[in-house]
Amino acid sequence: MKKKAYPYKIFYIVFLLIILFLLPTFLKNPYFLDIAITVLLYAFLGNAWNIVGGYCGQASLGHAAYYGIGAYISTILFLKFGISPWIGMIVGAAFAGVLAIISGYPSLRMKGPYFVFFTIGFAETIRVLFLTWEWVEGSRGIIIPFENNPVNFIFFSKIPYYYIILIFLIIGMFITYSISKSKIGKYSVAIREDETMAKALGINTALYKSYAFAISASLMAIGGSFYAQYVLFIHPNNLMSLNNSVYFMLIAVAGGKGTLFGPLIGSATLMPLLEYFRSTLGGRFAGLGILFVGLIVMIIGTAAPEGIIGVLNKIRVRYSIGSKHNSIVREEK
Amino acid sequence: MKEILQAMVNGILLGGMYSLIAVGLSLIWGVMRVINWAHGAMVMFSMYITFFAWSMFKIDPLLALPLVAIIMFVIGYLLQITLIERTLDSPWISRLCATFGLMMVLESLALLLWSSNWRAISVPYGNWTFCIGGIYISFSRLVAFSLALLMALVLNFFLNHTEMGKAIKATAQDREAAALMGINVNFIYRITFGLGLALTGVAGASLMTFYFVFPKVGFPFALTAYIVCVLGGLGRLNGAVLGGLIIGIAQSVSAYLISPEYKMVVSFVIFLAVLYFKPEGLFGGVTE
Repeated sequence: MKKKAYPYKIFYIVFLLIILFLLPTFLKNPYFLDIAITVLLYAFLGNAWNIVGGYCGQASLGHAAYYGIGAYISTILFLKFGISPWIGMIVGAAFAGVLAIISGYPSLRMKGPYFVFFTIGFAETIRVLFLTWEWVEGSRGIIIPFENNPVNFIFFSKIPYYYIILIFLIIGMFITYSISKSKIGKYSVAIREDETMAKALGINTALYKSYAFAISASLMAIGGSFYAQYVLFIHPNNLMSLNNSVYFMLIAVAGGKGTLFGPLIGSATLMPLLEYFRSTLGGRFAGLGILFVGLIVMIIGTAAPEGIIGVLNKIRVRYSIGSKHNSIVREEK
Repeated sequence: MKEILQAMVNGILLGGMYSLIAVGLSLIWGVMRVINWAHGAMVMFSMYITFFAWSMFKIDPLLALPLVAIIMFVIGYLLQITLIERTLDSPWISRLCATFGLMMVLESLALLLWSSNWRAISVPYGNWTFCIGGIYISFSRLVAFSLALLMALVLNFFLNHTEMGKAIKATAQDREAAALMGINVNFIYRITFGLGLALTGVAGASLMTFYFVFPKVGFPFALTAYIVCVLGGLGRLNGAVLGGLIIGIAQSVSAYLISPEYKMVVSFVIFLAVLYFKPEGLFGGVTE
């Protein structure tokens, strides 16, 4: 069955890629291009969250910490030591990965709410530390001076940023895909479904959880470096606030957690909506965007735990489009 | 030395508020295995109710307190029917989404309706202080603290000595067995969620006598309350009371000794240490 379904999927993916690569030629307006970049960036971040939250079932609400650390490391290396952000980005990713393993160690024994508390507390602590740390400018934030030079990861036009984040996203999704097909991915799913059972079967749950955590945190840090170079201003409250962690989770969960395309779908639906609310109603009705997002989160929690992909699948099964393939899907459920 | 003692007294008084918020949280967790992420938003909401009772009808916060508690109870009862009940059997990430979304909705609703301005009530007894042996105690904080302890005692009595309380405890121990004994589990859940929110109503109304309100005021309180719950053992009400006092003292003393910004860091370090050495909490908790 799977082999038959395969060419369709390839066709969809190629179609999607062509659209994404040609998009900047249609979007001449920098404002729309900015929204497209935001969508791709958040899809990338949601994808990173998905590795831990979706596949491994460890709903972290502290990923903003790694996001911020990535941004700070590449920026500090660039401004204080003159190291190109391209290298700084990799250093940041490595550091975030190691930090995730260290910080993940005590959290590995925790389950459910304890784990969520831990991750929130961790991110808040890191945020407060950066806010009060004078060497990194504390609560003033860091402005990166504009020098149009590809070596500095700073471009005049938005188009290079678009292609960079698009390639990052493709690499990120490829990593997720290969993880999901590898031993780590299968073990992660086993841990998500029943941790005790996974342990009983001889899976070193702590080890595989830390793998997932480290990969996820490294990707987060890369996203953070990209954000720093794109916006050219970093501040602990912009990067490491709980709101950001919630968005990462939300994007993956809204699209469909534990699925490859969930974060992209979630980001492509939510981010333009949020931006629309912000730009049209931001002045008079501040907070309406968050209100709307909150409602979506509540609906997902109560009615559609599988997210948009889950809803689409249900519709497909109901109207049995490509009935043979989908009847298998229904049986699997 | 006197300053540290003063900081400790302030910590205990503030800790009472943490206890009160944490007891509600712990009660809801203990009975339903639901973490109410909107707990902080509920505190905020009850503070706004108290504020408007004062600004529109000139009702003193302490007089409005029972009213606020009742309103919050009704809100909790209705929320349980409309929202929480639907998620009880779903994976816990859905439960997280439901209450987290509720928190976002309430906070942005408050921002939308009442703007981000800080509002405070100036009550006639706002500036009253006692001086005992060189240590100053604010009257309104003392009232709030006593109310917190009183509520904890009342709740304890209610759970141990009334039929409804015993039914709640039975449901917390074993949902199926309780249902088989003829307890209406869903009704008990509604009452429990209402009670948890009524406690935030008490906390909000008494906080309003010496604190200010803005849409995001609740979250730091709730974050501290989660730490308190873990410290005391999730689901243990007496543990939550003691945990609140401990965290209150720790925050207040560290704010004096190190810097106020670090009080969240200190709470977090305590939280980590507890999770690491005694994950079931200081007094043993109810786990999933």
